[in-house]
Amino acid sequence: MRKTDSMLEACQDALADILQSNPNAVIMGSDFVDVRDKLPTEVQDRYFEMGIAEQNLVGAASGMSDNGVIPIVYAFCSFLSYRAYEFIRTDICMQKKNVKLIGVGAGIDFCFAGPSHHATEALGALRSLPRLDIIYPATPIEVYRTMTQMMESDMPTYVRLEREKGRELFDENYESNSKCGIWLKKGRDVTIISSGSISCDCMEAANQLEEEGIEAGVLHMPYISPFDVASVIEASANSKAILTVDEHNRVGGIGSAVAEVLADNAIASLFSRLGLDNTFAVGYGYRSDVRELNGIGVKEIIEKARHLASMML
Amino acid sequence: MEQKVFHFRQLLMDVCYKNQSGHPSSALSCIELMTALYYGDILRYDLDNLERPDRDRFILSKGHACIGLYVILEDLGILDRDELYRYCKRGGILGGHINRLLVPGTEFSAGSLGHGLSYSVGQAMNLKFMSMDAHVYTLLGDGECEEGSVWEAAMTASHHRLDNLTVIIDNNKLQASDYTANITAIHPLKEKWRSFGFDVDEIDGHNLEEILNVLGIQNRINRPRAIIANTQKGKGVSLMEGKNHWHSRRPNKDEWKEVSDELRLGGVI
Repeated sequence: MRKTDSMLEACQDALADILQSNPNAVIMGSDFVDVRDKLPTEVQDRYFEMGIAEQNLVGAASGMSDNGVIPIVYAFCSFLSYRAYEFIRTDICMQKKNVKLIGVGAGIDFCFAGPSHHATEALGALRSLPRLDIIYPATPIEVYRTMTQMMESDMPTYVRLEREKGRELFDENYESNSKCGIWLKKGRDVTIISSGSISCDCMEAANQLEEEGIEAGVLHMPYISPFDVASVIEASANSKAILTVDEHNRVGGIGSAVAEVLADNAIASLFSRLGLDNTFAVGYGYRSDVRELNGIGVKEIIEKARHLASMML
Repeated sequence: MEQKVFHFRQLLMDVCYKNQSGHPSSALSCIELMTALYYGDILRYDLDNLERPDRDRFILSKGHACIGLYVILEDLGILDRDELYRYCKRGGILGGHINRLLVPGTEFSAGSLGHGLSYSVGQAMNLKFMSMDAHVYTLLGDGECEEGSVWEAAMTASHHRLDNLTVIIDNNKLQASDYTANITAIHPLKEKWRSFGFDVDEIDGHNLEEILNVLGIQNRINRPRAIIANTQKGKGVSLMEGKNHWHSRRPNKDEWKEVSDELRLGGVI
């Protein structure tokens, strides 16, 4: 992997390396220059253009998954998750097909494009599918490592990809093999649990909270499915409160996943969920602007965590 | 082969009646088509190795007609008679739609319409990618052609020049609640498939000679093929033939006398 601060470039590098090291890997794309033109010349014949037709794209990928061939589907996160949902369910998961799905534009990544292009309900839909691993990386290094790692498993896998630039939390020692949550920081007052690049915002919030004397930890979950139950239980045992942060509807996102863990294990905890309040995201502008406009900016994370830390169970 | 077809009609009606399950009328319309594929030296399969990589693929996209395929698989010795009579019953592996993970000799878990052709496009692309000389045959319903994904797949098939793909449309002109023409007119079918880049033939889907002749023709280089097989839903059972409201219905006790007489179900099937 080249040195890059871009998650998209990390994905391009991962795809190039996957195709170069695995002659059975093919890409099935949907009119995306981001991928096709970035592949090394010697593997470009393994890019199959399927056009703007996500249902057919996913159905055909299921058919392509035979005789050892591993199709990697690349499409918009929103259109892949919603338009092709039933094909993911019935042709990939139900039929146990080793297909890798890359949905680019997770959450409000397409922040200039508006809610048609947002994937702020997709986790709720995809998380409920049996037999689907869901990866939601936070940084370029994590994109590259989890994507190359996913090829070693024969599970259908969905990568919720963002094109975020400029932030990194990990170094070359990053390990993703375990599918476990990653403790970016531990804190006794409150643990913030999140996925995707908003985990970087959570770290920023935790660092600022520390300056105020509030011990805030951050548990980043690179895998939404399978969901690392043990880390969540650990968070509830080691800190007084839990705050989840979703760049997603609060319904069905990581907050829901954590609530399920707490309920299933009969854990009483000070617990709150930050995310879209059952609305479509509003506004246009830079990613940080749109996060802020929708109540999930760094400031809001800090306020919510501070409030939670001040409460007593 | 005509005897085989008659045997399959007997058996599938008997199973559906006794278990009061399934879509027998949908199977009756395409039983000649499936019989020709399996017994007319068209579909290349290996009974000793059902998962042989270079086998031809038969994708039954109109999955509700699966009882027609189950009786064939029973005849080939892939399924046993007891299993067949557990169709849609507790403890059985044969559901109202195929589960390819449970039923040997099947390729695709259908049921949701408009999926089989996309899957077939992927299969045909896979076989080409693997340089395997194998063919994909896909059976669609006419009502199924109302699904938009069918046309996405059709466009892709001709774009990728899938000359190892043959689509057969069981044009029985009836769907669940009415005649296809009254639900959403999909005609002219022939012109539609042709304009999507397919070589198209139209045949009588109950005439074995015509079916075998047309299936015996090789695809032109770079061209997928479509065969529009004009059929009657419920063919071979006068009570049901070409009549509406038999989509997911079986004869009841009163009607069964007439059906069993017509199919000579008094003796051993």
